[in-house]
Amino acid sequence: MVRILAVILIWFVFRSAAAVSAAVEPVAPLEPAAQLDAAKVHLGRKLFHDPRLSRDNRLSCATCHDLRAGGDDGRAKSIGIDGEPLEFNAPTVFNVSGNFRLNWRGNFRSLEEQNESVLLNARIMNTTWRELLSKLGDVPDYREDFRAIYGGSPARFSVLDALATFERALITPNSGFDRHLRGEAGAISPAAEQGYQLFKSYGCVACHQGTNFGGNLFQPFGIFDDPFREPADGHAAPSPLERLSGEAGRRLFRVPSLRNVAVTAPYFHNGRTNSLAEAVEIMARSQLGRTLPKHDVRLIVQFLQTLTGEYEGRLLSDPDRHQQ
Amino acid sequence: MTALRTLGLIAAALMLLLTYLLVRSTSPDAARHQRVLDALSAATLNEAALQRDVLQARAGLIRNYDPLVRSVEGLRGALADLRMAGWTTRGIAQAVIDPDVERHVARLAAAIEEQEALLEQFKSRNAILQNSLIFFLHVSQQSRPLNENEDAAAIEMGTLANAMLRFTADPRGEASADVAASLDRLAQLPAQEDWRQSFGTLDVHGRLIMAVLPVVDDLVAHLLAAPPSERTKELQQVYLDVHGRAVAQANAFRTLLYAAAILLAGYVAFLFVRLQANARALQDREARLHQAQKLEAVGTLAGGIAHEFNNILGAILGHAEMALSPRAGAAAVRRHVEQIMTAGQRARGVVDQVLTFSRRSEPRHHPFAVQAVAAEAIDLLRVSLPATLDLRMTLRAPDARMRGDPAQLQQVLMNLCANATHATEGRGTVDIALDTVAVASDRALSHGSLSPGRYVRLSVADNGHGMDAPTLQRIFEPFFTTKEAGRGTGLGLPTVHGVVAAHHGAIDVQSAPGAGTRFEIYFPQIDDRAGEEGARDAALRRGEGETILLVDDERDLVRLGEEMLAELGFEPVGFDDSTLALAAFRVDPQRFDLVLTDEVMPTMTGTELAAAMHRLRPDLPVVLMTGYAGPAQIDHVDDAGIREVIRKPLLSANVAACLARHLH
Repeated sequence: MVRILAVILIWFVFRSAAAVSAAVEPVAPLEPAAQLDAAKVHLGRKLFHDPRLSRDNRLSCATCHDLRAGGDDGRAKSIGIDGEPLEFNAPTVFNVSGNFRLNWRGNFRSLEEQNESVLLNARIMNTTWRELLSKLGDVPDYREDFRAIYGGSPARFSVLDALATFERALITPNSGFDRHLRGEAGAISPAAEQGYQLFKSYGCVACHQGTNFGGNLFQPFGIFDDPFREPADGHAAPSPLERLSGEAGRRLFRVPSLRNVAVTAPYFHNGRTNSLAEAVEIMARSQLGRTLPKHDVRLIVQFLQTLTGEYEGRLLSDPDRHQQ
Repeated sequence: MTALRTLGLIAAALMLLLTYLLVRSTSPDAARHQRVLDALSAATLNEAALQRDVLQARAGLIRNYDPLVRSVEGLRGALADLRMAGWTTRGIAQAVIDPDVERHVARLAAAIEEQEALLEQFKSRNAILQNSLIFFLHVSQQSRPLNENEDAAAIEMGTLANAMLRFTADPRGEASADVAASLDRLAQLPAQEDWRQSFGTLDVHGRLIMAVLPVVDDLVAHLLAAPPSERTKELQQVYLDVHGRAVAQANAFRTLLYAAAILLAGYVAFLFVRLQANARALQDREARLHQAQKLEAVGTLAGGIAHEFNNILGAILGHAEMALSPRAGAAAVRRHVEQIMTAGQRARGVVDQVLTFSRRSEPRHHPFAVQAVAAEAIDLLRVSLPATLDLRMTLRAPDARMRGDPAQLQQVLMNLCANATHATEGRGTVDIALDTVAVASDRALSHGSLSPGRYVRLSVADNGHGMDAPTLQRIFEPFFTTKEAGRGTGLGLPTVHGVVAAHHGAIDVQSAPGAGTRFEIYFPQIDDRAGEEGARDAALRRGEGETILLVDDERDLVRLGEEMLAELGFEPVGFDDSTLALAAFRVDPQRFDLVLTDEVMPTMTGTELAAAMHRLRPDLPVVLMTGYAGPAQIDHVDDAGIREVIRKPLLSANVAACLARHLH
C-alpha cells in the first residue's frame, strides 16, 4: 500500500518527462545528404583519396577514414606520418556534418578548419599550402577540375571547400533503426527494440540523443567511476561531484555519435576495447554509476547494431571485426 | 586661349563638385541594410528559441539537444551578418566603420560567446540531471528491500519521494535537508547485500540530483536573463540611429545635387538665349553687308552702263555735229548718219545684253546631246573669229547628254571664245575640249563646288596673257572688264556665270599672268534618253523641199545657213545683199515659201526688206534673224509680215522648229 503510494508520488514527480517520452522520441532518423554540388563532391572524393595531400605522398584522408569500412581505420590509435601512433583513435568520418563540434575534444567548429589542421599537422599529413597547391597544380586533371568549378587554379579555399563538400555528402541513411523510427514494421528485432527501451531507461539517451545519437554536447568522461584508473589501483575514487567540478576540463569530451557504432571499433578516444559490449559496460559504470546485467548489455548491443546505415546503397561493415 | 583654359577650369571644378555631391548623396546600401535588419531579427528569434528550448529541456519536454545546437548556429550566423552592420557606405567605394556600432557588435559577440558557454554547461549538467532523475524513477519502481524491515523501508522510500518532490519544486528550501536525512536513514536500514548495492547507486544519484539541480536551475536563470537579447536590442537601436543619420545626410546632399542641377539648367537656358540674340545680331550684320555688296554691284553696273553710253553718245553727237556742218557733202552726211546708226545699234546691243543678264525667267530646259550642239557652235565660231586664231577642238563625249537650253550653251562657248580671242589678241591658240568626268567626292572649284556624280566638262583654254589673282576674283562681276573702252561690255563672263548657275553647273578657272587661262565648265550629266528623243523629234522636223530665201550680209554665214537648211530638207536660196535678194524676189514672188533674213545689213535692213516683200505678197512668212534684238527692239514687225524673230547664231534645231511652225 505504502509502496504503491510511493510509486505514485515518484511517478508524479517525473510525470512530465515520462509523459513526453511516450510522445516524442529523443532521437530522429537521418535525412539524406542535402543538395550538394555534384562536381565539387566528385572533386572532393578525388582529393580525399589522394596521397598527394601529404608530404612524400604517404597518406591520404582515406588512409585513416576508410569509406569501404566504417569511415575509420580500425586501429586503437591511427599511425602518424612518422610511423608512431597518434594521440587519439580516429573517429568515423560518416555523418560528420551532423556533429556540432569535431574531434574527440570538439576543438573545431567547421570541417574546413578541421581539415586544414589535419593537412598542416606535422604528425599527420605534414604538408604546407605552398607544397600542396604546387603538387595539385601540376596535375592536369586537377587543373581542369578546379578551373571548371572554381574558375582558377587550386587554392586554399577551393581545396578545403571541395573536401568539406565531399565530407558533407558522407551520410549513412536507411539504418534499421531509422526505418523503425519511420514506422516500418519488422525493421528491427524485438530484442533490439527491447534494447532501445533499456537504452532510454538506463539513461544512455540523456547524452546520446538527437539525429546523430550524440555529437551535440560535451560531457566529462568518468562521472561515477574513473575510466582512466587501472583496475588494480585501489585508492578511493573521488565523488561524482568532485569530478564534475574539479577535473571537468581535462576529462571533457564531445559526446560521440553512436551512428554506425557497431562497425567503428575499437572504442573510446584511446581505442581501449574492441568489444561493443565492453564499451557499453564501461559507459554504464563511469557515466551512469551502474553495473548492467549481461542480459541487458546484450540487448543494448543488439539495439546499437541497428544503427548501422548505408553509404552509396551498401550497408556499412567492418572487415576487421568480421575477421575476429 | 585664356578663355579656353578658363572654360576648362570651370568645367573641371563643376565636375568635381557634382561628383562630390553624387558621392555624398549615395544612400546606404539597401540590400545590406535589409540583411542587417534580417540578421537582427534572426538573432532575436534564435535567442528566443534557445530560451524556450532550454526551458523545455530542463522540464524534460524535449530530450535532445539538436534544437539548441541549431539555435546557436542561427545566432552565430546572424552575428556574422551583423559584423558588417558598422560598415556604412559613404559614396561609391568608400566605406566608413562606425565605432559605436562596431562596439555594440563586439558586445553582442561576447554575450553570445558567454551564452554558448553557459549553454554547454547546461547541456552537460542537464543530461546528467535528467539521467539521474530517470534512474531515480527506475530504482524507486523496481528495488524493494527483501527483509523484515520491508514496511519501514517502504515508508522511508515514500518519505524520500515526498522530500524529493518538494526539493524539485523548491531546490533552495528545507526539502534539501529532508532528502539528505531520508537518504541517511535508508542507508542505516539493515538489509541484504544486493539491496545495499542498488541503494548505494540510488544514494549517489539522489545526492547528485541535490547537487546538480540548483546548478542547472542557476544556469537556466542565467540563460533566461539572456544578455544577447539585451545586446541585440541595443545594437539595433544604435544601428538604426546611425543608419538614419546616414540616410538623412544622403538626402541633404541629394537636395544639394538637385539644386546644382537646377542652377546649371538655368545657366544653360541663359546661355541659349544669349546665343540666339548673338545669332540674330550676326544675321542682321550679314544682311547689311549683303545690301552693301548689292549696292556696290549696282554702282558698278550703273557706272559701266554710263561709261558705255557715254562713249556711244560721244560718237552720235560727234557724227551728228559733223553731219550738220554746212560744209559736209551729201556723201559725207550719209556716212555720218550711218555712223550714228551704227552707234545706236551698238547702244541697243548694250541694252539687250543688260536685259539678258538681268532676265529672271527660267529658259525652257530640255535634255540634249552636248557634243552636236558644241560642234555647231564651233562651226559658227570658225567663221566669225579671226583666221589668225588657231582654234583646236577635242570632242570626246559623243553620248553625253545634259538638261538645259542648247542656245545658252552655245552662248557660253562663244563668250568664252571671245574672251580667249581677246586674251590672245587674236593670234594665239584656243583649245576647246568636251568630255565627261566622274566626281567621286565633293570637290571645290575656283567658282562653285561639285558634289559627287557624273559631269559634262567643257573646257576652253588659251595661251594668252593670263590674269592675276585679283582680276580672277572679279571676272564674273558685271561690267568688270580689262578690255579698252568700246571693245567689251563687261557682260560676257557674267552671262556665262548666270547660264552655268541656271544649269546647276560650276566653273573652274585657272590662270596666271603670262601662262594663259583655262576655263572649265561642268554641267551635270543625265541619262534621260527618252526626253531627248522627244525634243529631237520636235526640233528636227524635216523640210519637204520648200524653197527658203536666206539673206545675210555675211557671205560665210549665208553659206553656213544654206548648208544647214539643205541638211534639214529645204531648198535654200542665199543672198549676201538684201537689194539683190529683193530683186530676185520681185522676179517671182511665188517661188519662195519662206524668207529668212538678217536684220542688220548695210543697204537695207531685214525689216525694210520684209516690208517690201510683204507688200508684194502679204501671205509670205518672214523670219527675222538677229544677233542682238529681242522682240521689243524690232519695230513694225507686224507691218512687215514678220512672223518670228530668232536669234543668231542659228541652231538647226531652233531653225527647224521655227520653219515648221510657219510652213505648215
